[in-house]
This record gives sequence, C-alpha cells and structure tokens, in this order.
Amino acid sequence: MSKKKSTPEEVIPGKKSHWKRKLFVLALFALAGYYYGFQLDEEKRNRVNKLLFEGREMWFRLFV
Amino acid sequence: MARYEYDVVIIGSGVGGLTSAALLSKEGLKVLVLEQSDRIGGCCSNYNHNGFQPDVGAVFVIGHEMYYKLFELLDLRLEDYLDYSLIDPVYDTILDDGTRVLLPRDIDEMAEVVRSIAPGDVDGYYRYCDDMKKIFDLYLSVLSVPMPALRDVTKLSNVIKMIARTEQLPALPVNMWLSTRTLDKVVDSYFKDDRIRLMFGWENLYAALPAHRCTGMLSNITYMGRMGYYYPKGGMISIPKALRKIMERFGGEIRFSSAVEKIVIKDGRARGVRLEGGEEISAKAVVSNVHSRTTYLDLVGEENLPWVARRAVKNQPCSIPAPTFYIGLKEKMDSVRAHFTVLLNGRDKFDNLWHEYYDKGLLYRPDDGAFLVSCASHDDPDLAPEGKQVLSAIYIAPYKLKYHQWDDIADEWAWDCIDSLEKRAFPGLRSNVEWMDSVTPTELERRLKLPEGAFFGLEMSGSNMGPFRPNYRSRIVDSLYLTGQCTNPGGGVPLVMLSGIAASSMLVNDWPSL
Repeated sequence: MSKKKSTPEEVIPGKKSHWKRKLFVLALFALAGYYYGFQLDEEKRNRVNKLLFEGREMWFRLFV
Repeated sequence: MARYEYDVVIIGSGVGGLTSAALLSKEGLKVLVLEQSDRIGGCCSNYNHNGFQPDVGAVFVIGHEMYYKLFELLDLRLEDYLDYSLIDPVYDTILDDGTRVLLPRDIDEMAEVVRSIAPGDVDGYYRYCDDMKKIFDLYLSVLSVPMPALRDVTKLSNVIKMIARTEQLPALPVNMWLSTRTLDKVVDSYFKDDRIRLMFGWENLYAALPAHRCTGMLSNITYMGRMGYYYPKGGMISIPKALRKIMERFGGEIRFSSAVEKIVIKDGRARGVRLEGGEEISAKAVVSNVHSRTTYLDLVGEENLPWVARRAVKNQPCSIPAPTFYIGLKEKMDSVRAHFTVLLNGRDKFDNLWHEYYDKGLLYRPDDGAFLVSCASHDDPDLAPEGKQVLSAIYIAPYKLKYHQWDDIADEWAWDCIDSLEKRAFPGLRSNVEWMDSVTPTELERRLKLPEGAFFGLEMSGSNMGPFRPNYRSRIVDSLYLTGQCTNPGGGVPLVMLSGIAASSMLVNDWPSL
C-alpha cells in the first residue's frame, strides 16, 4: 500500500521540476537574446529583423 | 466550332512573355500577346524622344551563350535576328579619390590596371580569375549539351543530364565556397585594397541586393565581364523585337494598348482575360508576364486566393527600384570614354548607402552617391541624332521617401545629380543637356506597371529563390502560368528567357489535360 501511494508522489514532483528547469533556461535565453538585441547597433538590428521576417514568411511562399 | 478564341493568352510583352509566345507559336498553338502600352519589351525596352533612344531597364547583354540555346529550341539562327557588338573597355570607372581607369576585357590587361592601383592585389586577382574560370567552364559545358524538345526541357532526367558534367568536379569546391558566403566576404578574401574590393564588389547591384545580403556566387558577374558584355545593334529593344518577329512568323499575334483588368477564372481554371474596356478574350491557358504581386492580387483577385497565398504574395519583398534619368546631349562629349561609366564613392560610403539611406527612406547627397551611366549611342550611333549623344544614369534610391514625394522632387533631384556627374566625370555636362527625363521609382511604377518600380521583380535573396519564388505553373489557379523576373531564376534578360522556356515547356506538357 505504502509503495502504491509513494510512487505517484515521487514521480509527479520530479516531472514538474524538470519542466520548470527547462522553462527557466528558456526564459534566461530569451532575456539574453533581448539584452543582446538591444546592444546591437541599428544596422545590425535591421539585418536581424529582416532575417527573422524572412525566416517566418518564406514558408508561406511554398504555396504560390 | 472552337470553344476558345485563343489557345494561350499572354499578358505582357516583356522578354519572358515574348519568349513563351515564340516557343508556343512554334508548337502550333494559337497565341495572343496583350501589351498595355504601345511598346514591346517591358524592362528590356527603349523609347524615342526626338531621335534620342535610351534603353529602359536592361542595358547590356551578359551570358549571350544562353540566347543561342533559345534559338536552338526555335530551330533558328541567332545571327539572322540579332547583331551583337562586344563592349570593350567594359567600364570607365571613377573612384572617390579621383582615380579614373578604363577596365579592359582582357584578363592580363585588367591585371595591369589592378597593378597600377594596388600592386599587392595582382596575385589575388589571378587567384580570383582561376576560381571563376572553373565556374565559367562548367557554365559553357552545361550549355554545350544539345537542347531537347521543348516538352522535355523541364524533365528531371534532362536537367540531370545537363548538369552532370565532368567540369562539375573542379568547380564544386569553388561553388560550395561561394554559395556559403556573402559577396562582400568573397571579394574581401581575394583583395586587400578597398578600391579594388569596390571595383570587384559593386556589380551585386545587377542582382538588386546589397553585398552583405548577396550570395558570393554573384562574384562571377565581374569575371563574365572579362568574358564579354555585348550590346545589340539597335539597342536592347532589338531582343524583344527579334522575339516578336519570330512569334509572328509562327503565327502568333500581338495587341497594343490592351491593359488586362482581370484573369477570367472558371471552375478554378484561368480561361481567358477581361480587358479594361470590358472586352473578354477566352483562352485555354493564360501566361502572365507581369509582376507576381500584380498577377495574384489584381488580376486573379484577392478574393480568389487562399489566405496562405495572400499572405505570401503580400509579404514577398520587391527588389530595389532602378530609378534613372535620361539625358540627350547637344554634342558628343570626349569625357564619355566607354559604353559604361561607373561612379563609385568610397567603400564605406557605398556600404552605408543601404543602412544609412536606403533602409531609412532617405536621399543622400548626389556627391555621395554611386551611378552607372550608360551611353547607348557609344556602340550604336543611330540611337541618337547625328552628332549627339544619349545617356542613361541609373542610381540607387528607395521607393518610398521619408520626407519627400518623388513626384515633387523628380526634376530638382535629377539636376542635382547632373551637377554631381559634371563635377566627377563629365565637365560641361549641364550646359550640354538638350533634353532630360527623370524617371523616379514611382514614375517607373506608372510607366511599366511595376510594383515599387522594381526592375528585378522580387528580391533575389535565398528566401525568395528556388521553391520560395512563385512557381511557373501556378499552385493556386489551374491553367495559369507565370514567366518573367518574378519567377526562377530571377531578373536579367537571359534568366528571364530561361523562365519563358520553362513556363512554355510546362504548358506544353500540361496541354492535353488543360
């Protein structure tokens, strides 16, 4: 009985913390990217923006 | 009784449209070309003002070997229709430090020019020539393969047969190296002197992209100048004129002043066109040689597009415009020493044109600008009245200005540029001007119905090429085919011809099921 009760209690908190860690790392990367983006000069920022725009939109062009 | 008035209606008489018209007429189809203006050629045309006949759009022939392939498909001899002369020297180049050099076609003579400016770059120049020669040899080898029948041109087995050449092996490492770098990086790797780097790195403008966004493959263009730029007798319009003649010889027809308002779509298929006056012309298939944005948003109509296609077409960037001012001179000028005069500013200034001015919608001072001045009458005196000269000055400027309207400043800006040209290249130019026509990006848009005045159609960057460029066979409307600079391989007369060949080949293959 005790084993049956303890198994889910041990696994679920473990899973939750795993996702939390992932989210935390992602948030850190996002913050770093945001910070990095603000450090770029205007020209480089324009280039990055253009690349991001093209990277997003190019896939729609496959249907034309 | 025939169900359709024509087999194929072609919208636009640019090089792509006329190539398709000639090929399809030869295949026995009943073809009608509709042209909105009173002149053929589109972006490879000219116009006549009191005997001054400047080129509009394309200004020289590059890769003329490809033209022979088209004539091979047509079973005709190119020499019977076109007469080319070699452009040599290729450019009269003027740099911002006052250096002015004629760039010869010959490789060794060109090496002497490099030596006179930057002796340390001669080795790099020969290294550049060796690498580019490998690609050029491959190009010639591919073109040496006999052309199959039109319907077989686009078959995968034939394409593989054409490109599977032994010359691929030496060219492969160079091709891989070039294709993974931008043009500015490639040029920098061969040359150390900024002036030489600029001389070998500005022709990306023919692809309408800044060097930092342009594939290194385009460094080959400068080498092709060494292999020969040509100019047809009668001006660039001789090319569409030849195609029109061939089309008419095979029974094709052309109608001028016939602007198309809509492509008629029935059951999801393009079945003809409606002209602006309301007249409807029925056809089994439609080939559009107009800009893909115009084709889909205006002629097909947004209401007929799925949202994915609507979004794709609206957000696909146009290439840069090529605003030009045309000048008729009262007298010939000795300072016009070559067919092309290139005025370049410092390399920093040239690179800055893009992010300091172009991207921000600003106009630079003409003295800081770069110009390509083409003198059509240099190689064909008949293109200007006797004793006179005609010039076209092409420059870089954004379509939308932040603080001005192009229509308000067109002439004032052109005269400022003329003053700058006088100071930098042609003494006495302003007082020698008999006639001037300033064709801004908005004026280009009006005259040629080109969205944003973009001569090269859509941008020729990686995300707008290959499968990301509008397909020859429309994926949205059946029986609709596209040709021209908005399809693969992109802008430039020989490339547009290839698109005309590919679209026609697909149409001929599809014909039984249309």
